Amino acid sequence: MLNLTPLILLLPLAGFVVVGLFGRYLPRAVISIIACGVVLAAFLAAVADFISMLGMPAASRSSVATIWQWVASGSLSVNFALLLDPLSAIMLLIVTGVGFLIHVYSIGYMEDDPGYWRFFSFLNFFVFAMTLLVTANNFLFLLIGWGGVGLASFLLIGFWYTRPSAVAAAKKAFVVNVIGDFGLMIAIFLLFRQFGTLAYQPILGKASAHALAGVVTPAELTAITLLLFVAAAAKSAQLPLHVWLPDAMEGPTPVSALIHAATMVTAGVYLVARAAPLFMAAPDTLGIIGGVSGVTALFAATIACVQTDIKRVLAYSTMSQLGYMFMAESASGFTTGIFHLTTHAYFKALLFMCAGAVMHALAGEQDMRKMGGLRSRLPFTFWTFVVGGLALAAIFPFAGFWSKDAALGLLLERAVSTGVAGWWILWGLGILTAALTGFYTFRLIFGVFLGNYRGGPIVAEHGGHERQAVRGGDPLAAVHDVGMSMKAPMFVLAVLSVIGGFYGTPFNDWIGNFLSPVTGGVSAPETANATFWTGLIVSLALALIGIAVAWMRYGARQADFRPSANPVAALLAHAYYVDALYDVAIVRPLVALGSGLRRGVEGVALDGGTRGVGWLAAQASRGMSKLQTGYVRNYALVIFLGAAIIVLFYVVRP
Amino acid sequence: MVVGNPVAFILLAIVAVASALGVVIFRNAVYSMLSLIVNLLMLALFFLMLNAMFVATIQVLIYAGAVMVLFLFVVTMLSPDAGSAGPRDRLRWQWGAGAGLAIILAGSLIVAAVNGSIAQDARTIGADALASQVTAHGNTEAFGLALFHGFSFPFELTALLLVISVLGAVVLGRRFAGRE
Amino acid sequence: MSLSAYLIVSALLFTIGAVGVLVRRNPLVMFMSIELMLNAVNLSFMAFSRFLDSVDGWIFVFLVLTVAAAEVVVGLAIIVAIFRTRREIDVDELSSLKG
Repeated sequence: MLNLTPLILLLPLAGFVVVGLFGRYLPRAVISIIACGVVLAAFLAAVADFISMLGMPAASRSSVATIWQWVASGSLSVNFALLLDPLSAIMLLIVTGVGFLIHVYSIGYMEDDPGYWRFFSFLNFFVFAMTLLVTANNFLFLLIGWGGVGLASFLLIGFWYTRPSAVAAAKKAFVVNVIGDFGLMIAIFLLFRQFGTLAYQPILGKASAHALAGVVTPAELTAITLLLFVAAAAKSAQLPLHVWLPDAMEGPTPVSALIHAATMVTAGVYLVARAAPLFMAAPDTLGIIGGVSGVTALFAATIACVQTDIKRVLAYSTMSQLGYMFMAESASGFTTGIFHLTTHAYFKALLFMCAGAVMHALAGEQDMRKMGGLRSRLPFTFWTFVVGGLALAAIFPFAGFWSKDAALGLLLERAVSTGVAGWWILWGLGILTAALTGFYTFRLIFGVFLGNYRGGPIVAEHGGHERQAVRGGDPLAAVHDVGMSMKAPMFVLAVLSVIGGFYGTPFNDWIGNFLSPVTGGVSAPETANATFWTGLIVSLALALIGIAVAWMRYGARQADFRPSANPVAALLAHAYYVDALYDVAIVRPLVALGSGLRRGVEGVALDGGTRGVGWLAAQASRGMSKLQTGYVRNYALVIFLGAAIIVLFYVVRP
Repeated sequence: MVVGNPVAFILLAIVAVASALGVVIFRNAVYSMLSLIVNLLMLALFFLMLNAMFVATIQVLIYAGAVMVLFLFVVTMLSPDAGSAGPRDRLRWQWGAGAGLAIILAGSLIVAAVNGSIAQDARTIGADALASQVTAHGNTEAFGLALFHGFSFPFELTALLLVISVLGAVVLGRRFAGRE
Repeated sequence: MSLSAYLIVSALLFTIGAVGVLVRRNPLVMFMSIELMLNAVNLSFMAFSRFLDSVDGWIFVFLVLTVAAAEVVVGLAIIVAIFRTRREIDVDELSSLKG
């Protein structure tokens, strides 16, 4: 089997190095070619690997490329090895494929930005780190990739580093991510302690709970998996570590599309799928994952309903959809979770690209309240937005429909078969969220594209020539749709959003079959029975009801985004005041502790201590100098005193 | 061992101590100086009592003779008006401190001398040599033999020291051109 | 008289000289007190020399004498140089080197 993973890993790295070192001096065209070229080459290599993998029988679809031995210390031996198996192949296709499309999109989106070369070098670095994360053959290199994508996220969120809000958002993202990193590290320590190794095969090869019971106790296993979930929650913005994702929208839109929709935030889902054997043997953790992700899904969907920033709506939507993925995984539907990951990558990246197109056309405007009636000016964007929206709202036959309903069907089947109230609650959260998803998605679309334009005149500057809005005339006269470099990726993703679900339908669960040798678990479409179809009809109906409500409020009449007097609306608008809570409970005490320590320990003790030594020396010398009276007779007295003491000692000594 | 007449000793001792007190107590510097001369003479008599004629002679010649004459010159040059009290003493407290220390010092020395702890440590180096030397060669010759045989190096150094001090006195006594 | 007697006399003379250095302000009288102390030491040396039957004491006295003479020469020259132009002779006047 062909294993080109080292190439896939090193090509973006080479792009990062070259563009990073020389990009300042290279013309835009060269930068674009290098950066997009390496990712395209990586994608082609991933495709080649995938095709060769398809030719192999199901049992032997795994190949490890060992590059060198990195750690050989005592009993710990870690190799720099890359694993190519069905799960990593799918992830590689998503990362490099969607990554390539976003690179191309960025050529158009970032054309006016002076930091063009910096942007592409960071994007390449991100692709490299994400590839490392998904192809690592052991938990240690997973951690390295994990940290690498966190770093890339930080660099890219704070790309416009002169903006204080961007810098603060980048810092926030990094700090919250580190909490997850910490959980992952502790989990790695525990894994090493129990298993003696960090490679995947020895740890995950023990697929049955029985075999694991011989090596770890259930309590330890629960601890390890919980810590892994902490890491996943931080990276994938689940409660309570979700606070960084809305702020991460400070970064450029391609960043939001690539990192905070399609790939980086899905690293948590990947981690849980990769360690599926461990999770399946720890049912308590799975229950916790289900609860947390279910609450997160509803929580985020409710907030998205009142947001006025188009990117924030999509950010909360991402949070909500990630909740779906984790819910599926909590019901042991690991393949379903990955399936939803792939379809979500298509339509969410598309939606972000569309939002970026709108913003690009309106010279950076992000506020929905200042938009409206853009359908005639931005037709291509409108239609792709609708396609993405339908996929997000899970309407038949778009991609999101198959994957989300596979997840919901899995939950329903669990609820029915086990009768445990928890699964019913999760299913209830899921379908309620589906209704809200339909609502907020089309609230967004109708608010932006239909009705009358509510904003000011747009002065757009493109390609060096300025088009002024005519005073008194159409304020949108200068607004035009996006260029080809942005249209092409959007078109590709729109197509994928339509057809991308067909490899996971109940009739043909190709992806389930492809991945289950790796992850195990169940896959809902396999159990397509009456319950499944009933649940599917219910969720589809609720989604359509949500869209209808959105139409009634925002489509049929003029969209009115005035702030509502409803107190619930205020609560939602402030994201349930979670940020304020964290600020009061965690940030302020820490800052107070820090400044207290700075004043007390560093100011008084350390600075004061060192200065005190000097002060003491000065005071001592000042005191000592008083002995120098200048009178010879005093000195004679002192000498006399010394002599008397000596003689006295001589007499008195024993 | 008892050397010398006890009565003569006590007499000499009393006069020596009295004149010493006179040096310290007299307000007039000239009186102090005269008391010092008496003290030196008493010491010379002590030396005689200790059977050291040569040293006694030197004491009178050099100390009482040359050094005190020098003192006399300087005293009369610098404080011709006798009894100049001067401004009030700023360091009166030193009298008390000095008296206390004096008692301690004198007391310890006397105690040490009386209870023999000094005598215990004293070693006899070259003992039994002096008396025989003196009877054999006489006082002066015994002294000269010791000085030039055993102590010739210190002798030369002392000579050097004298030269230096004379030079110093000459330099210090000059009136510098351009000053005063 | 015994050795202790000579030593006691020497101790008394020494102490009186030391006190004289401490309480008198006339530099010349201070010098004289120093001479007193040196003579007391000379007495001690001579007593020991006699009682230990050694000539080293005499040599020491001789050297002390010589050094005292040299010291007097230099010291008086300094005193003359300092106090030549002053009206009051007070060693406490020389207190400008105070810390």
